[in-house]
Amino acid sequence: MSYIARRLVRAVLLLIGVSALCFLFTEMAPGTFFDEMRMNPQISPETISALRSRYGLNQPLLVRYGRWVQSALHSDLGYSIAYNVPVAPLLWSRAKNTLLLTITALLLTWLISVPVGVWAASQRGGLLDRAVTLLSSFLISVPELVIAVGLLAAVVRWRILPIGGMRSSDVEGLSTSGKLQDLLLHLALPTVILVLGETAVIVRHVRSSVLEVLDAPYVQAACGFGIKPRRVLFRHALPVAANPAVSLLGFSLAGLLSGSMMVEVVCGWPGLGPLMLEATLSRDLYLVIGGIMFSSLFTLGGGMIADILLLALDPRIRREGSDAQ
Amino acid sequence: MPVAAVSNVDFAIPRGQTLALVGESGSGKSTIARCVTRLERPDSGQILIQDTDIAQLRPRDLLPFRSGIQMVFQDAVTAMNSRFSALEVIEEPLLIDARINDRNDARIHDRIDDRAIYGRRNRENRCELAHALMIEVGISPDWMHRSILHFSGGQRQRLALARALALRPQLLVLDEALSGLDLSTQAQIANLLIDLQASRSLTYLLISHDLALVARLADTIAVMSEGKMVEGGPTQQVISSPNHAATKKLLAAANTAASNLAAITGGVA
Repeated sequence: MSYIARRLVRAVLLLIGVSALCFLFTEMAPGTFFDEMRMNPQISPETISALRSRYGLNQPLLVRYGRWVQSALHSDLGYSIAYNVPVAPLLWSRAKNTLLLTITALLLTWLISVPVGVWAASQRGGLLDRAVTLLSSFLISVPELVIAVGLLAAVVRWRILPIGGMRSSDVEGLSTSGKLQDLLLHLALPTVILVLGETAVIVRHVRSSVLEVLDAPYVQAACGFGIKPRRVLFRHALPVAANPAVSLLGFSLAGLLSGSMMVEVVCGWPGLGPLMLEATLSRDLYLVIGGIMFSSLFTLGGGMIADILLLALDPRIRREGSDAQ
Repeated sequence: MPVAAVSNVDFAIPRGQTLALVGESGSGKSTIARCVTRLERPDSGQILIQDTDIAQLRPRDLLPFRSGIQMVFQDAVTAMNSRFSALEVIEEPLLIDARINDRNDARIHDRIDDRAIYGRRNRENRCELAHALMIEVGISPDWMHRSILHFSGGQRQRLALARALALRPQLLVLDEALSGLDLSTQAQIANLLIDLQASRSLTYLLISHDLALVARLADTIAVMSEGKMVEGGPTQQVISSPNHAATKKLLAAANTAASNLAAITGGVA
């Protein structure tokens, strides 16, 4: 329990660090939201400086940071200049879509990678093993953007799936199941792109960690008793292979989020990705910082979930924890 | 080009006796161990257990013989799943498919109790057996539910012996089973091996590079060098009048170790 508490404290400290760095870097970055207005002769410099002071941008950095922290504690995370609303609700409405996409992709990735990786490892050197290795090397070496654009082109060419957004324009007239089906169809393409890229990596990890276990003397011993290969696989290989796999789960949660930004932009999925791109280009300061905070939160959350899972799965970690006290 | 790790090896072990396979590392001892336990399939040759040649049997036909031949590994730490408790380690061999016994052949049948202990069910019986085995190898059965991480090297090797004995084997293959242990533990386990051999009329294939240890345990010795058997015979004969250079080298190493020890203990005294 205290292990989790320690992790929480560390996570909070990390979030404070990230936010401080965000402020520092955005301060150092050239340009502000009002630069374009300044070029416009119809807007007077007085108006702009009035706007600046209204958003508190004329205050020194420390004061702004203090105010932001205060607003973060009220779960607003500052104010978006472009949208003219508090950042957090705005981000959250988009983050829900991102989570829908990434969690679907994550589940599918694991549902595919674990069985395929274990299967490939159990027949090392066989046809399936070589096919999996080859395919995953290919998918890892081809940049995700190329896969995304290629699939997008194929989908457009053969009109297999709807493109862009997460709803059809006539969705209001449909029944509930019709709406769900429409959503799933829109979800399909970005999900497939994400799953392809992630599965390639995770299959390889699962395969190699299972192989490592299968070589261990205790597995050989089990074979010597005459225990069936299937039992060896489930009793010995899978639990041990689960360790690196679960640690990876944390990374892949974080990875899916950053990876999904690109996919969201390419497929027009209304998640955090397009919002963040837009906010960065227009220098919507607090929205950018809020987005980074969200994604740090996801990353930390992913790591935390992985650690708690490990704690639950591996008796050895629990023991080390209690020995340390 | 495929490399033959071992060729031209021929030995027989009478029931209830110990044959020691000695040789430098890399001489092919472990390959023989892995072939005898059929963790590996030899490319050619015969492995006769009583009168059946198991060398080329398919996995399914091999099953009835597996329980008769058990191996104890050098490294007791990696030879057990570190997530298991002592009980889980010992009872694992018993989880083999109970149907093996139905499929049966008389060989297995006359070795097991009438009580059913195999397969997933019968957990109580397995527990009882594990209890008895732990006492037999000299570990307190109170520790049955402890994780094996809590056991020392010597204790783990005792557990490994208990595990190997669970299937009531006739032949134990001890692949450097005493090498990783300190001298006093080694001596204790050697004594345990001698006791077990007497009480269960076990046959040992002892693989070692340590001639001093071998002299104590083995009835006969076979010396391996570069994948071939170069010398063999009764232990006393091989040790007192070695013929082959490899044997002399091993003897010299054992003598150096002994005289070093004598020098140290002499110095202390």
